[in-house]
Amino acid sequence: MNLSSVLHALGRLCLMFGGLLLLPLIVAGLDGELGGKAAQAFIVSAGVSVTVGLGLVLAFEFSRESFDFEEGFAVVCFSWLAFSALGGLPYVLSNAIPSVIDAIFEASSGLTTTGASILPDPAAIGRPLLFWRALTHWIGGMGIVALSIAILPALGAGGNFLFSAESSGPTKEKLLPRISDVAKLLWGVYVGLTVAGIVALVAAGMGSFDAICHSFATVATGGFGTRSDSMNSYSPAIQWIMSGYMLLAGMNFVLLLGALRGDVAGLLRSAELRLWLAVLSIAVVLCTIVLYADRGAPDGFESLLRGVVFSVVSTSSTTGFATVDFATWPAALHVVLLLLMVGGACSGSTSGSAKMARHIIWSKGAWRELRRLLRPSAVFVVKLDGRAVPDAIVARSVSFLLFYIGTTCLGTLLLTLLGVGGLESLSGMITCLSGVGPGLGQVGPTCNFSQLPDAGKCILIGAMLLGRLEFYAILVLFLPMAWRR
Amino acid sequence: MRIVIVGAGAVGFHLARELGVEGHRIAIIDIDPDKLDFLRDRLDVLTVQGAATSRQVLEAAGTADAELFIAVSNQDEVNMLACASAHGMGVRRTLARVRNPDFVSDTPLVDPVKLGITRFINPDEIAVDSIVALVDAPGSIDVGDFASGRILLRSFDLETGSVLAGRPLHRLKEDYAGQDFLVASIQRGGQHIVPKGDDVLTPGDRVFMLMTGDSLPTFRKVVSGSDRVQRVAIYGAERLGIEVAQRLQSRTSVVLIDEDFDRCQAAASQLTHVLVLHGSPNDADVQGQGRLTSADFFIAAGSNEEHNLILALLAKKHGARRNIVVTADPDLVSLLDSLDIDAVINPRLTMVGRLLRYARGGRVQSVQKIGESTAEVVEMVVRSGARAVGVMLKDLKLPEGALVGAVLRDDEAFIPHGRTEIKEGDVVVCFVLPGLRERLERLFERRGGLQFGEAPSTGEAG
Repeated sequence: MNLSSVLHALGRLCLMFGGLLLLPLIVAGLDGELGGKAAQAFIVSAGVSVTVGLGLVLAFEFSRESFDFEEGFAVVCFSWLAFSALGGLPYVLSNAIPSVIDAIFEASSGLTTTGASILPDPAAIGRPLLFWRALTHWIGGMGIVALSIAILPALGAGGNFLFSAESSGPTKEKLLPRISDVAKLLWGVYVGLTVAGIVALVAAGMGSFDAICHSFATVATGGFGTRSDSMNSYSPAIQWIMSGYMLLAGMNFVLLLGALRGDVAGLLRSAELRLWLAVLSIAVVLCTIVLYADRGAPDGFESLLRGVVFSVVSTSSTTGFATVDFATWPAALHVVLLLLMVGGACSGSTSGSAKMARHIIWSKGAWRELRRLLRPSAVFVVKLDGRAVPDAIVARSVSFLLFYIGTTCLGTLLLTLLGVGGLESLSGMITCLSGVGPGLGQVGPTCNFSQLPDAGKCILIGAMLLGRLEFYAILVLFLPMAWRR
Repeated sequence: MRIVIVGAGAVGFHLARELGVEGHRIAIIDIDPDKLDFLRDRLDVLTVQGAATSRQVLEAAGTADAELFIAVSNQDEVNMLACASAHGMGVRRTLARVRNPDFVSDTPLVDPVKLGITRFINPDEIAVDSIVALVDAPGSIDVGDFASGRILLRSFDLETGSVLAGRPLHRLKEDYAGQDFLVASIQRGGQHIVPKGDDVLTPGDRVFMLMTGDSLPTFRKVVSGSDRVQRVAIYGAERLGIEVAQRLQSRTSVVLIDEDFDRCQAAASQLTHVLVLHGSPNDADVQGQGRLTSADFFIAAGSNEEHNLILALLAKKHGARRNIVVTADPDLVSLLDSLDIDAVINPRLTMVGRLLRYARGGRVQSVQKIGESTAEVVEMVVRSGARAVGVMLKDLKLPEGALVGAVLRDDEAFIPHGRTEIKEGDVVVCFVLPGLRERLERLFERRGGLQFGEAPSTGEAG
């Protein structure tokens, strides 16, 4: 591996991140708090980020020839680690979150669009920091590298690879000849969805600051809110709008763009989206029936259904907002919610977890092995949307599932060894790997992750990064092969 | 008329021969001098050696004066460009043989008319049509559709014990009254017979029947009992085999077999309901997995024609009920009659048939060769003032060896009888032995003349 190129590229990304760290100053300025503690924290953090970046850029040479797969994976992996640390700086410096581990947890939870928090009352940290929380979602949703490719084409052809290492889903298509054009196109959809969300939420009566923060958090399928009770205290209309918004954020952006250009049929033809909608429908029906049988509908049926739809869409799209405390639901529904978290939404969206396309591919692959037992000479091809899926992709989808299960098991074991409860350990691992946010039990929607031991928080930080980068970009760096020259 | 043909392969050869017999003046262009030598020794045509996209060559072939330009070389691009060039030189009608599916699909990449090409002719599509038609009508062989598919020609080999055997034709007519079908020709011992009412069908006969579309179900029942095609095995995962599998997969269970793994993989990617097996159809494992021994059809459509033949024979020996061989090798075709092969699809000959149809233009609508080109089915439109107009069939002096098998009048198809009166605008489907077509044309298509039989005026004036 050519570490020099990696560090140079990392330096450039740090410079850009320094710029992003200055954005909350706008909020501070509007509030007339430019001299406040929070504003100073952001200025210092940005200074640190730019200094580090400059240092790396000046100290190391970038050579395009020696920028290969290993270097690409390393840049992606290191940049996410670096930004988790730099992104946590403002929390520590402003004393909003004094513990360094907690601050990194909050920052990586933001960047990985998980939305798991250690803050008991987010509103207490002030508007600039609340904005920063939402902004980390918004940056992380599309990907830091994707952003840099869209605005800084300096990485050249290597960018293509970086981009696919960071974007989600089993298969990656290059839609346009230049990767920077692809990144711009996707960012266009992303910004468009964000603006549409802000307008819709403001129209429904949400304050403009809250609307911006919630739009950032939703379009990235993150889940950081601005209130301690997540979305419970907003009006029913806003909650319904948010359900629809989270649904859109879980769809494939390319198909969504196509639908906006008139090809709605293309969107609805997608096997992945159909499966996701089917899964959502089944989950909603099941949860409604079980909940109604369990406790009736004391606040009316609309309220019950609204809570169910919101919770199902929120967990399945891996956003993680909550309007009701689903941790108090019957145990069977806990299983349903955990399965939704493992399920994920559509590839090519900002959602985390395995995604429906992978589930289709690995299950078809498994089905194929069954059929092969009876017809050993037969040639079966796994297809998605009528197109053949190469065997390598099938194998990668299966191994993704195995990495997911293996990581969950290992993490759960370690957490329980640290004294965390069983339900909390399992749901905590799944919710962090999948980028949802709230878990069950003591880490449920009305609670937070602050009471976990520091070692436990570190495990979950690792889980969030692994999940966001879909394992491979991080795990390959553990191969000795990646470090040989 | 003057016709220029590009490509002196099998298709070009047969085309030139058939059109030459009809009295057209033909020039053939090919880049291979050996092929042209072969042709020159056998046919009375002008041969021009060179590239079909060269001005000099096209001019030497007399393209500027030609009325029809047919490009049937084995390169799509050459055919298309040659036709476009010929169009530029003033040829009104141009036909190009094109196999690339992107050009011949329902939404072609290029509109042929924009290139100055009257029509793309796709040999695969024609062969696939023939194979699918065979599978659709089990028990029957050799198929032709006339009057846009409203009149059908089916043939079958009469087996011992068939309900049709041993009875004179006029009795059959009574037994199946109300059904519109007609025994149009019988092939017995290599000889075509145009049957009369007291002829008797005997086992071993190859019977050609004309019928309307409505009578097809009854016909199928009579010929093949109540059997339904449940399993079709296709050997050869190439363009033709995949196309056939694609067309059949929704109706019946289809197994596609090939020895080449990459081809299997490509086929499996395109097909949804087809079991694609990698291996040889002779391998017992493959036979078991594909249930080949109980297949209703084994279609050998690989690229190696000798191999096709052998596999088809073996498949039938192993238990497949019927076999179809795809081959364009004339040496093999002549061998097939003595072997246990149910049907042969010769993509080149079917293509020649289709090209002839277009070459003859609107006059004769459709010509189908049956058997080894010893009899033809001809479709004609009765012109106003033709001799046959207003005459009952029994009074129409048809030449011996010719028969009016079916009539399409005002969109309604029926099998005529002796008292049927021919009207202007009728489409008549006729069976003719070689050499008689011209005389039929005189009867149905030309204004009253005295070419044969009595003068029309005597009968009517009297």
